[in-house]
Amino acid sequence: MSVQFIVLFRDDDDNKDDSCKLLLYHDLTAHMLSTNEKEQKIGIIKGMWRFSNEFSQSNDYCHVELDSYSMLVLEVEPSYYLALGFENTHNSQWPKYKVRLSQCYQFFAMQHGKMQDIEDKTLSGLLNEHFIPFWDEINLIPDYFLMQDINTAIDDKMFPCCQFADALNSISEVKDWQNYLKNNVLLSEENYLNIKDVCVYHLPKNNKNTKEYGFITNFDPQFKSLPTLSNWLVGIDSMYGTVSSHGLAGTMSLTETEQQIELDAEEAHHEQPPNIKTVWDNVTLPITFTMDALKDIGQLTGVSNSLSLFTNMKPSWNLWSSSSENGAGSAKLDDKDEYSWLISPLNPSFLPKVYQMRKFYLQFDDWSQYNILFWKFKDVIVAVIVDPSFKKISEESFLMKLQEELWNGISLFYENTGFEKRQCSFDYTILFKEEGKYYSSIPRWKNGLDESDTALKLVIKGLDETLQFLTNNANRKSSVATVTEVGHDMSLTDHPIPSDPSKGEDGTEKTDKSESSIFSKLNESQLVELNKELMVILGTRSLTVWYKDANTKERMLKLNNGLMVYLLENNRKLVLIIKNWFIDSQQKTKSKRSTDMIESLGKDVSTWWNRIKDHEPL
Amino acid sequence: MRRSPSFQISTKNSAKPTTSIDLTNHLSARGGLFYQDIDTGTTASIKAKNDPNLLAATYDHSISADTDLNIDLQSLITSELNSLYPLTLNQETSNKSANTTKFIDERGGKDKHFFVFTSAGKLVFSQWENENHAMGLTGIIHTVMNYFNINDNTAMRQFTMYGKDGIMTRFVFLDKNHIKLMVQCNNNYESTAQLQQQLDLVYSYIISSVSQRNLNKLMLKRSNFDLQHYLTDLDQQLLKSLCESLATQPKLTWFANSLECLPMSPKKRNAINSILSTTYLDFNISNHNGQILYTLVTSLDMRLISILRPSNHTLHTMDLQILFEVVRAQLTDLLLDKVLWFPICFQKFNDNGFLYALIKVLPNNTIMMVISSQKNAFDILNEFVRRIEDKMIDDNTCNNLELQLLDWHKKFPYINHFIYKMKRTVQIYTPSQPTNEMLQFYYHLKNLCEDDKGTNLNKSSVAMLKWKNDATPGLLSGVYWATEKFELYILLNDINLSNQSILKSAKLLIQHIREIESYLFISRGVTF
Repeated sequence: MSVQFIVLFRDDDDNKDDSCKLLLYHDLTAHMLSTNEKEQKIGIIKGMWRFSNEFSQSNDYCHVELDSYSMLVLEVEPSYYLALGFENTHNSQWPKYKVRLSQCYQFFAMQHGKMQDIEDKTLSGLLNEHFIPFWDEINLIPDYFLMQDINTAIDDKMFPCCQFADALNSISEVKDWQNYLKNNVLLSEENYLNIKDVCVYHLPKNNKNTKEYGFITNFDPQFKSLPTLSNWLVGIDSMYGTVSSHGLAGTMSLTETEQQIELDAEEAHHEQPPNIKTVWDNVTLPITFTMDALKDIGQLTGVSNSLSLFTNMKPSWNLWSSSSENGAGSAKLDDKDEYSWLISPLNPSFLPKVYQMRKFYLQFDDWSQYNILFWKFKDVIVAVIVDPSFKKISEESFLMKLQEELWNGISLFYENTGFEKRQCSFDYTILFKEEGKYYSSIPRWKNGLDESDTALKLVIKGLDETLQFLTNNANRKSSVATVTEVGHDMSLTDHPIPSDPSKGEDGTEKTDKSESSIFSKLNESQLVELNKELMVILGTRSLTVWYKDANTKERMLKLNNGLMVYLLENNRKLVLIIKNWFIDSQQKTKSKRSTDMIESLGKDVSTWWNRIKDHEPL
Repeated sequence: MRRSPSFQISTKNSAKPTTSIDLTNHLSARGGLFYQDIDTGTTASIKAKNDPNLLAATYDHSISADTDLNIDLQSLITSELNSLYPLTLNQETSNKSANTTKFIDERGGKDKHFFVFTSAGKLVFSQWENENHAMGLTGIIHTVMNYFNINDNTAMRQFTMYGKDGIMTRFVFLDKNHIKLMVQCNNNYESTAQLQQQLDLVYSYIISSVSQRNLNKLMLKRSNFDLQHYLTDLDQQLLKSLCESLATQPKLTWFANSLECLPMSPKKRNAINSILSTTYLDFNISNHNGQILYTLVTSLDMRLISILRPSNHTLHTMDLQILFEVVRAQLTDLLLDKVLWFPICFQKFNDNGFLYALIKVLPNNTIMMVISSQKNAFDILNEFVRRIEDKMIDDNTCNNLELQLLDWHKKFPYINHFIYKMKRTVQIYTPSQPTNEMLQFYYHLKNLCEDDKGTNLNKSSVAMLKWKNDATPGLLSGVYWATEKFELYILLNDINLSNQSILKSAKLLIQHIREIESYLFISRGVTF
């Protein structure tokens, strides 16, 4: 429970009576606050903001540090202030909170538009729907921010990108599959100017190789909302462990399992566990939601489509996560599971509208609303951005054709992915500031729902309740979203849960790969320590920002515990290299004449760097 | 007890009229590692004795002469280096200050303001020009602090505004029950921990003249007590000058949280030590036992020469820093051959009571500071100082104390400037006072390895910082090396160096300093 409260209010400059419009106040610690108390807090926040205006103008955000908690205040839109309070235990991690808070607003604006364009009444409702579940979920995961990698602390507009081997070889040519997609999807006569852009992501279920995770390509360099869209997608993937229709539709959420709720209740039985209640409060779909519907849902989530095998609804990502790592596993799956529309007008019409089409406010030349469809093929997620006036998009034949083109394109991609596979003994992040793209080898956090976590489960608003109703409480834990634990009273002989040997396989694989990242070699407390140290080193970055005359700033730090960090920043990019100098044997062999600071990181780093340093993002 | 506006200044007891207070020689001695004794400005300094206004002028003059000299020497070294690095180094970039000014601007005093107010919100002191406005600001911040105190039962540590242009404005707080302090800071090199330490220094400064016990008594009796008018004009003045120098001219000793010693040959230091100890022993025999607590000998610019102390007590660095600040502010009077006698409360030593300090400048350009716990010990202490003075005048070794380290630039051609801190004795050595810009850079180096609370990331760490501009030649680079024993800050010359040679130089420098440690630092002082 690290986040304590979230507040959003408007402070109009022309406000004569000097009061603020409170739009959202959510206390996650379940303290009941009177309106008066809420207004007091807002008054204080406003007071501090105005106070600091005495000393400096054009303020962007504010970090308040108290002995017991910390607070962040962002001016998200002119006169709209968003404040977040959180526990002080990991105060050094505050930039991560700031980045997430800022992204939370960006996601809101993407889905609903700018706050100033929405009427207060509607706005309050929308804010409640968006902000509260967002932070509730984060709070469900203990040490959420501590586990986030260092890249999430740098900037709110940066997103991970896949790395390709040819970049290291200084070749950056447009690949066949990109040309194919460009010519056949974007530039085809029918689609030209109607399909605004196609964004391709590679989001594998397993989280082992960061270099193969993230954004791959898009086609319109004018697409300015790319960071927001990408972070939204990546956020869904890391929070729910996968990207599914429900996640994209925004109906999926994370809650505690009943087991955990009971545990919690035992610990504090005077408190009413809030989640049981919300599950039933959220029944929004009619009960006429039938078995057919479930079947369709099953299909669109890639779940086995026979209702008799209802309890086999061990969703496809579970299968993949346990078997496709070896590569052989994917062959077992039938083609249908490998590609499908996640969000498209092909989805059954009784489902909420968000399943047919997402309408996002995005910025190309100007900020306006576009329709987005999502399609997936194995680990690739494709977002198709469509002009709202293009009606053909709801025709089945058109979608089939589009799907075919996408399939052809992504198949070409899969023929030769060309991911960067070379191992290196150090970790790095390269951020291109203007584009927001970053390439990193630092492992990302991903919710491990399908592994051993029994405390949390996924629920889908509306659908799960019906499910429970239909199955007559046969298995309280079953959910359309995931079956994290198959009920013990069900026989599942044909789909055994991955047994220990396969886990062993995973384990050995892990140790092989761990050569590549120093992060995987550390235990939890060491990781926490490392995370803290990196935050400090990155934190000093902001202090030197205003020395504009020095357009290249390099710093290197070598600690006695083996940590060696190099940070380079110029107008174009930021490079972070982390190394353990204890295990570096090559250090002595480098030339003595070199004057570059980076050379002292060892030969492997400098060879790598010399290859990559002039490379620009695709 | 407050510091009275006119310290008890006594001239009648001064020994022989002094003849050799040579300002130029000693006030400018900070850069004096490069040259032999130069006897200029004697007439000016004599005039200065009569006219305090002239003093400042002399000071300025001597400083500029000093820098010129440095530049000359620099250019000498440069020409030597130029032959080695003909392409990368030219006179302009190797100029002592140009190295930093290229990237770091000299910042005015406008970027930092101290505010001190009571728990009732009454303004005690502010650096804000308009006092009414300052009161308004204090009111707001007082409300905010109290809100968190009452509602959430927590205290505010700091808050920071981040501007769109990357400039941040920080507000750091210190809540000392009856007195609350805040500093607003627009600069970007001091960390929260460092700012909090400065607030602590300001607070200690107030306590040094009021004492915690008196303050408690006053504030408990009437919580809206007006402390501002209780403080004397002199207190206010001293507070103002302290805050101003914290804002515009941060001192090296504050930065490193330590004291500076005068480098001198062990022979000379021992001579002074033995004068101190024999005088003390003589004195004790003649029935003045327990009157003298501490005796400090410093140079005119507050660099320690010797210390006489009880074997079981040391003085806290911050207490000494405050004492030195008070003395520094009275230096003009002291140089007119006056004796200073005033009460002072050492907050870290005992914040409830006062100690009494007698300060006097001796003819060999040292300052004697004798501290007693007895209120009426002036005559005894004065006699003690007189005897020491006599002995020092008789002893030839007690003149020209500063040792000139002439050749370090030759030995370490890559190093432009450095600071070495010996952690055990909390003392620093630097060959010349760093400029403000240099100090800013050192702050950045230090911050690399420190978290927000001021703790080092690791017991031992090395950090390097390099700034350059691709368009114009020249770079700014430095090394910070911290171990359990020492901290070393190096500003490198403006040449492209390999890391090997940088670290090698740093290692050699440390070795060299270790060899001459007894010249540079006071290891124990004289104890009784």
